Amino acid sequence: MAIGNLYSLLGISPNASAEDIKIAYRGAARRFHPDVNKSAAAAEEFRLISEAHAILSDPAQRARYDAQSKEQGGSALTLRCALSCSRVPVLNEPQVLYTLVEIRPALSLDNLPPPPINLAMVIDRSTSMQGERLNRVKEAVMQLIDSLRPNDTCSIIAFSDKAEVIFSAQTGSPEQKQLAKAKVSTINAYGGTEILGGLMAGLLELYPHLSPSAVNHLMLLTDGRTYGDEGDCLLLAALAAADGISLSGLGIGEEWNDKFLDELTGLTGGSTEYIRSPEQVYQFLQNKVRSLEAAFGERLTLRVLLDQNVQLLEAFKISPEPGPLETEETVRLGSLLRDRPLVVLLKFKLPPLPEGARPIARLALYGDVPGLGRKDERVTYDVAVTAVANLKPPPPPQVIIEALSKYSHHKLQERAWQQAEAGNLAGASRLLSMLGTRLLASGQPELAKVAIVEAKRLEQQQAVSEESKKRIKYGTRALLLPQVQDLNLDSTQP
Amino acid sequence: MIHCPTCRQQELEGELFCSNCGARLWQLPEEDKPTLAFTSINKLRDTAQVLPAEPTTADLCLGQIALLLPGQVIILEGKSQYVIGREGLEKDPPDVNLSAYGAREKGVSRKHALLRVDRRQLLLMDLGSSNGTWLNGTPLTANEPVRLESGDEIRLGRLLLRIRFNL
Repeated sequence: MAIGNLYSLLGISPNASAEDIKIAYRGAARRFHPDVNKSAAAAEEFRLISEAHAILSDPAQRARYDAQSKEQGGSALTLRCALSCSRVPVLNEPQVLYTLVEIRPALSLDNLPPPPINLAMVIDRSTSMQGERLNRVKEAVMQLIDSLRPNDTCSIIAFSDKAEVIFSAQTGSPEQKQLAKAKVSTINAYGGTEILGGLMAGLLELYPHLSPSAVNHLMLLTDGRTYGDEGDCLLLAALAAADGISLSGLGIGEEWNDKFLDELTGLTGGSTEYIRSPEQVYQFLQNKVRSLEAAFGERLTLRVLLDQNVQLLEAFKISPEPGPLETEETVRLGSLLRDRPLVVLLKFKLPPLPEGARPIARLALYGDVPGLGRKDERVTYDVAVTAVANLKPPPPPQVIIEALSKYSHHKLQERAWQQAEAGNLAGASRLLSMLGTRLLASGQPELAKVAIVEAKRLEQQQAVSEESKKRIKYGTRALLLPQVQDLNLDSTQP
Repeated sequence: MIHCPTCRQQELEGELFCSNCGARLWQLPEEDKPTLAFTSINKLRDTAQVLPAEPTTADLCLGQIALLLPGQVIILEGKSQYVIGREGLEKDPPDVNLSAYGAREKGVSRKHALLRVDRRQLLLMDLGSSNGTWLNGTPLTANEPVRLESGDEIRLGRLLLRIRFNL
């Protein structure tokens, strides 16, 4: 059922009385009634709430629903939140509220087979790839072909000014794998970088094999900038996302456009990673494919239904792959892995608040769990605060502090590059040296050094080094990930 | 508006780190204040989240630890470690003061045991208490931390409690 738990739609527990249901319905309807909340998502929510109320307020229908949901079991996804502050001060000015959202599988996964992968690898073959870069990429791709399972589908596209399908989408029998590898070995470098052509060819290979029970994914590997077709690429990515395809980017070296690739992959819930040297290509590709195989939930989207006068200022994915998200009403989150939680940080701006309890936003998580044959699972969570007069805000919970302190490092460097782009190199240099100090204090001497050296260099040479920029950007991002030890622990737990 | 104490940058109320210099903007807890211990489950958090009498791990927010005593739930959050014990004569209560639950009668020491959050693990350590600490029926060696699982049973002297957490 696409509307999830009826009780959670009304924000009540399954043992609520008839009176509770009536009160909760009035409250929920007041929040999402089209007269109050003009957004399209709110209208849809209002319709769902009305449906839920119609069923739950009729004892016979409610009993039938209870029996039915008992049989089906709960949702396959869980969503939990930590707020920077659940009791906030009464103020006559706006204030900020941070919410850390954690999404995990709700079930034990021992018996669940890993989903098949429907993969398109889109490889940049422009002249700049010539030599070690392309050789390493070819080697890594060949090894990757070997590691595919019989029910995976894979296609390989090479692009420069024009795109060429090197190996058309097929499942991985041993003979086919040999053939694919032979063809990959013939890829040579020429021409410029035009991502649109490669992207389109990759998607065309994916579409015939599109399956709701598979992980449909396009991997883009590039070392250059595309010119003039960025808008079309973004449009294509948005369409692909709507059809359940996610995109990830691997940028090699310094010349590629990080801002564009972040945006392109972010649109689909995917992310972009920075490969500093060609030797790392193999490791990155392997990690990427392992994470595709570890997928539990697919096509996760978070609908953020804001209550009156609340704004969503920022959305950032912290785990499993850190990267910025859109602050739209519907935020695409990509895949949920079985062994790692999906963690998202939301920053809300609250209006001046009078005393009392107040809802801030409803989070409605949607997603498919192909392994269980479940589609459009839904989990609802209401973010709410209580405003208290003369309250000195208590310190935020530890998890929020940890995430936010690392996020603030990432934000500092983003601000630095913005300043540099606007021509204020002195400002950028100052921010980077601040970042260096903060990184030192938090036990990251290597990254701190890169930031401090870049701050000095900016001052003297008056130009941004693309290499340092990418190292600092993706370095501060990587810090956001939970400790490696944690991940090991999680996967070894019974 | 709030002003960064380090660089005077203006930020919205509720902001946690300065966007200009990365400095911390929230107040550290004063040492003598008790931890956030909501003794009534209905007062916990906000109206949107009323916990059942016996919360499961799924009912807890990220970062919360629940101590389940008969008919009472104590929620801990916001600190990296908590001293558990009872009030003494010198009126210096530990972070988690179990005096109200018959701690004295049941042989709980003033500083009986320590809970520590380490990354995403929760560790329990007996602080050399007079009557000992048991984890799931096994006595602990003093000053040796052990790792807890959500749902474990802890006995401080003769006071029995269960612990659940979401870290």
